[in-house]
Amino acid sequence: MSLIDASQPPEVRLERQERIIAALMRRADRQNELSLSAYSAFQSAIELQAQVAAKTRDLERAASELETMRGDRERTRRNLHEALSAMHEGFALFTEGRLDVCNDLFRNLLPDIADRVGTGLSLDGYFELMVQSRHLVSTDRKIHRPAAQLGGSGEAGIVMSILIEISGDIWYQLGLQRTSSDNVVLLLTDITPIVRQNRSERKTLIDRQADYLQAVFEHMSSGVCTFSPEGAVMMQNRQFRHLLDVPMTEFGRGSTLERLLGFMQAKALIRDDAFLEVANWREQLKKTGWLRRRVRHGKGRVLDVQANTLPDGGFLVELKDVTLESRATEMLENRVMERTAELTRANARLTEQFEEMARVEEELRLAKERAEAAVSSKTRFLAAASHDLLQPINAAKLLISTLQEAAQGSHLLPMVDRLHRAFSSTEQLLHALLDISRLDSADPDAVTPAEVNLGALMESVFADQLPLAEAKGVRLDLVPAHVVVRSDPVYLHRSIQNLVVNAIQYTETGGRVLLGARRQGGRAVLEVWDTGIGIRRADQARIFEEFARAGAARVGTGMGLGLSVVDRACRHLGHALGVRSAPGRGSVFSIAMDVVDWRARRGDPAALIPATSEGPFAHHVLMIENDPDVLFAFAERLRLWGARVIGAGSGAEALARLEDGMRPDIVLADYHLDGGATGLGAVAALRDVCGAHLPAILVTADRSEALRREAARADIAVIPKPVKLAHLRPLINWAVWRAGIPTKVSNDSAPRSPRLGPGKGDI
Amino acid sequence: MRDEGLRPPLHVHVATSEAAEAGAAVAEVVAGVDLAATCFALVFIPKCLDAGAVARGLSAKMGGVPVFGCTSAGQITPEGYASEALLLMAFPRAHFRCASVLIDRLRPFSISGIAGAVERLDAQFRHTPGWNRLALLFADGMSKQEDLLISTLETVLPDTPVFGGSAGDGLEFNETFVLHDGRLMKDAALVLMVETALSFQGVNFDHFQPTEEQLVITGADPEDRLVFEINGAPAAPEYARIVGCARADLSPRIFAENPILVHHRGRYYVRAIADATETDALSFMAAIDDGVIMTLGRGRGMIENLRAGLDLSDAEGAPPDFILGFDCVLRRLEAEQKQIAHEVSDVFRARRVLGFNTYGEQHGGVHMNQTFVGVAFFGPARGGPI
Repeated sequence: MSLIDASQPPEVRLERQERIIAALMRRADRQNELSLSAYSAFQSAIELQAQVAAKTRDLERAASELETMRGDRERTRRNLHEALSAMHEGFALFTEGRLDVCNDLFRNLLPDIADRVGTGLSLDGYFELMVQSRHLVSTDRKIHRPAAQLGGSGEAGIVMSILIEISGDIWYQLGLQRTSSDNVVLLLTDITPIVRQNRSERKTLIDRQADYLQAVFEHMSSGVCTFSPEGAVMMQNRQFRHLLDVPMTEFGRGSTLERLLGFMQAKALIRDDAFLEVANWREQLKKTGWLRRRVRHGKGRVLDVQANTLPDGGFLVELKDVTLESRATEMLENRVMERTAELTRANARLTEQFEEMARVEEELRLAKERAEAAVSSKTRFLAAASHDLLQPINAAKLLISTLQEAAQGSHLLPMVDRLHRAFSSTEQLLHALLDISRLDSADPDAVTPAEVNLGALMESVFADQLPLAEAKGVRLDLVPAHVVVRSDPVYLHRSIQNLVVNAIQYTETGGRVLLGARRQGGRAVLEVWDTGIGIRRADQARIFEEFARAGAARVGTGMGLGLSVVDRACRHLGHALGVRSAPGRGSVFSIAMDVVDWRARRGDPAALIPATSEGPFAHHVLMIENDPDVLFAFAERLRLWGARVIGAGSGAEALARLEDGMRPDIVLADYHLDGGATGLGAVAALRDVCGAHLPAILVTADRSEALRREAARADIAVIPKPVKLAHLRPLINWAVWRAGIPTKVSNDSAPRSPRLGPGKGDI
Repeated sequence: MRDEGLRPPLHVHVATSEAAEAGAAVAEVVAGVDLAATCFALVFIPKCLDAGAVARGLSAKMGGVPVFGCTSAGQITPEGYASEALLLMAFPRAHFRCASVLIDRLRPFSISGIAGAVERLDAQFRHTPGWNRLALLFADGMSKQEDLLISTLETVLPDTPVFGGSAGDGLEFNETFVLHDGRLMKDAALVLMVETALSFQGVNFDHFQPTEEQLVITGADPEDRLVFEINGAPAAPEYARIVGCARADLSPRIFAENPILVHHRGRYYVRAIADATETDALSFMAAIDDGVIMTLGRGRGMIENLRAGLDLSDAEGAPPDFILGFDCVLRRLEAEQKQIAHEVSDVFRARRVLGFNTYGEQHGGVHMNQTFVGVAFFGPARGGPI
């Protein structure tokens, strides 16, 4: 049908065409207007709708694609499920800690929790369920928060493996592995066959070992039996039954320790009730882990029973027949006991004897004390008597002295003189008696050893007895000595005096008595010589006894006690008293004493020598000095002091003088001599030639230490120039005096110089 | 499918009454629902009842439960098409929440006023997490403002699907009302914002095919949807000539059978004719304009089309629990003309379609005629979405 009604006349049709065109034109124009008409709203709406529809189509397409993908995923998942179901292992995948998928084997592992194993269950939740399950028997490790153990950090590859035992002897290995940061895979592997096979192999092994063990048991020499922790017999050997004498019927497998002990008690095989108490066994084993007992069994057999706990809580009992050993031990013990008894008896005897000896000793001591007391009282009496006697004698002597004055020129004078002498003798006798009594007393302080100047003592005695000798018409001489000895000054003085008096008494008028001392090794020997009547050899031992007297002695002048006092004093002091005599020719009495080593006395050597500068200076001095003026001055000075001086200008000259036969007491040498020679060399040569260690002093201006040492090594004293005369004289005295003492000069210690006084002048 | 249809819907309660007197009808429908469990109700009033009396009766009987609705040109009850049934749909509070705004003046049309009111409603209506939101529009069917209205709503509510039906007046095309808050309103529209725990799906279809016949509107009053001239000739006689009938024979049934379509970008939209005036003008039920080229359409396979359009299922393949349907009155007239109305009713019953016959349908921002617009509600998800 046409747009315009064809039945209309052409003008109408034309008009309508125009109208149509106009309307279309208007419409077309309005398309560009922004009008808000209903139709434009409709138009814009359907525009929008078209766009929406297009978008919807896109969405639908996307949705359908999604649907397809979902289908694929479903299919994949289904395939996965099927695959998982076909697996022989339990499998579970936990995504982000929640169960995502698992197979039936995993789910039904523990039937009582199967219905709770579902999607969304947490890993920890699964393990909690697992632990709760009554089908779970054991795990090889504690399952606690495995998610945390796998590490929250999400590192892949961490693996955990747990061994699980399920009721019915089913074993699974549960492996956990983190496959990615989100995923954890649990794999359950059935290892039941492996576990069972292992076990059966182990069992076979154990059985074989048990057989082996049984065989070993049977062939052991001691009786062995093991018990279960409950006390049931596990394993025993023939020797065990044999030792206990228990029949096999009583002692099969399954019988108990209690029964065994009961049997032995009933048969009275062992009479030790404590031993047979099961409770005691248990307590002991529990406390110490072992038990050891020796019991006597039935017919005199002795058994060692030792029980030790075993690792499973049971214990092993070992029996040993120690009857022979036990008998041997008994025998030995008996023997030891016998010997012990014997020794005890011997000891008692010895003790008795010892006590007896002690008693005797005590008696002896008492007797000695009594004797000593008796002696002591006698001595005291003697001392007291002598002392008391001296008083009237002193008085008598004073009267006699007065009487002598009055009797001058009368005929009574000789009688008074005799009287005076008689009283003097009495006094001396009393003194001797007093000495003897003191020396005989037990008093350890009877003598007091000290350092005594022997020369001084001799001079003192000489001076005292010179009048007596002159009165008798005997010549008394003294040879001076310079020596210090160790002795008691009082008794030594008395002894010398007695010897001198004795010598004078037994020497006829016109005879001689000589007092002197000489060195003999480390000792000084004092000698008293006389030209008296002499003593026969037979009498020589007797003369020291009290009141022994040579037959020719005149009555009234004898001093019977004199030698006796000397003998006692020397014995007390350790001096050797000697006598040499030839009848008609004379006698020599000697006392040998220890010389005191002056060097040991570090105190004051000057005190030991006649140190006074004014003292005698009769030395023979050899002086070596190359300067004639100095030599002259020195020599004059020394001569002034009293020395004999020989001067020499050199060492050779000095040697020549020596060859003249003269030997000096001391050499004084200048150090620097002509021709490069030294004083030290000269001294050495002199000593060499005369074969003696001449004392020497080196005079030098050289104060070096080296020279001092060299001089010291040669035992040569040194005095520095200019020489102080006040020092020189004591030094010479000291050097000469020292040379008279036998010395052992050591190389490293220089001789000490005497104390040097203040100088008086220099040369 | 039939068996499935025997089951009443689970998530909406429906009551109908064919009582001739308004009070009795109201009493019957109110007694048929559980008011305590009801969030709100939709009511569709037949031409035979006094709408004012129905409104008053509902206000008195519904016990404070809000009732919305409109007058209708026929009802779709659980039994299918009905002409004299009062239909009440009670939406349970277990699955529905609702808020409403009444637009009480459509002429003159104020876009800003309406847009503001709807925006406020949308903003104030609290969103429940996990629930789905949609809007329902009931407009005065004689206001001729549905095009702008739906366009405005579509703009204001870009994320909310809007489904609408224009109130009817039987076949009188005289005056229509919307019911809001116990009041019947003319020249008004009602917007319901609904949130539901149920999932839903919009549906919109027609069954027309374009013919060879084209025509041009050469004279029209777009405001009143009146077309005076077609192809330069008086509209009514020219339409009669084109469809091949006498001017005198023009009736709603002719109009229903021979709708005029607008072609736009490959799609055809129905412009239904409501009436032919004495001045030989044609009164349209949707927007028209001067100079628009139109195509004569012809219905094809209405039943098949209906079945296909309503064959819906949710993500899990389950059919809808019920479908709220806005069915153009001209479709019903066509079905009755073709004597397939009972078949249509069978399909509606089977698909549990409930609703009314409209003077126009709104969906996707467009006001249309001779279409079926529906919202299919599905039962709650049995399993979460994958």
